[in-house]
Amino acid sequence: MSDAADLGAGPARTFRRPLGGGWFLRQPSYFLYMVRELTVVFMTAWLVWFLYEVWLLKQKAFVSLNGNYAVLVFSVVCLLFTLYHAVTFLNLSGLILRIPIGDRFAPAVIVKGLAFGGLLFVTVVGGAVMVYLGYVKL
Amino acid sequence: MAVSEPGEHVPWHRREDLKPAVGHGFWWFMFGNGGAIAAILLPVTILVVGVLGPLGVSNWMEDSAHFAWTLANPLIKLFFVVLCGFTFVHSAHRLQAMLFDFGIRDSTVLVQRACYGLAILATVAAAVLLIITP
Repeated sequence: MSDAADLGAGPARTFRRPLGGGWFLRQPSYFLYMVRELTVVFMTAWLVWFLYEVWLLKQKAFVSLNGNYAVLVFSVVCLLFTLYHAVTFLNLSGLILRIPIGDRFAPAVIVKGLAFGGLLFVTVVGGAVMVYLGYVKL
Repeated sequence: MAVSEPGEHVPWHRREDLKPAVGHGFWWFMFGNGGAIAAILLPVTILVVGVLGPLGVSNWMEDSAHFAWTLANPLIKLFFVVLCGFTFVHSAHRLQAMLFDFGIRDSTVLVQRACYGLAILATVAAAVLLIITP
């Protein structure tokens, strides 16, 4: 049997180039992609910490956070990663959210503007409400 | 039904030959909305509770009585249940993708089930904790 016949006999053989564990260190864009994926670890960690504080409250072992600089440092780190998640995620909203208007879609820049506007609105109004809740007299 | 001439472009939302993938759609809904909810609601929550609170700005976590009074509000409970649930499922999706990117590719289904299972368990635990507290 000829070589040409051999080539067509079985399923196509493909070569997968092994990436290795440190592939994301090759280019800055790969690294930033992995940082974006990693942001969820910090977001989840902060929420788990908050739920732990709720559990402490339930156990009547809750201690005030005022002057707790460990919580401050932890929260600042989590906040930075959360903001990175927010910016990268909302930046994609113009591409992902395809809002049909007739046979066309809403322009990406409008969708993106609404997403970042929502972030700004919720941050200002939600922040004001949360701070107000802190001043409410019991 | 939209009938198109050969070569004519028909937008996906008008094509009736496409069947909805309900299961895939559900998890994609949870991932997408989880990302959006976390992106919009979580920064301000961390800023006020975790950053401004320790710096001395009056905060509902400044003492146990105030914290308990705030958590007694059903809207606050609902806010945190939604925030936790959507964020956990979003995190599960990204975590399984990240593990794949790190080279864990032999047991994709097992990793997916573990990640999503943990997210569902954590959401249920968070909901129960928030409902029974204070």
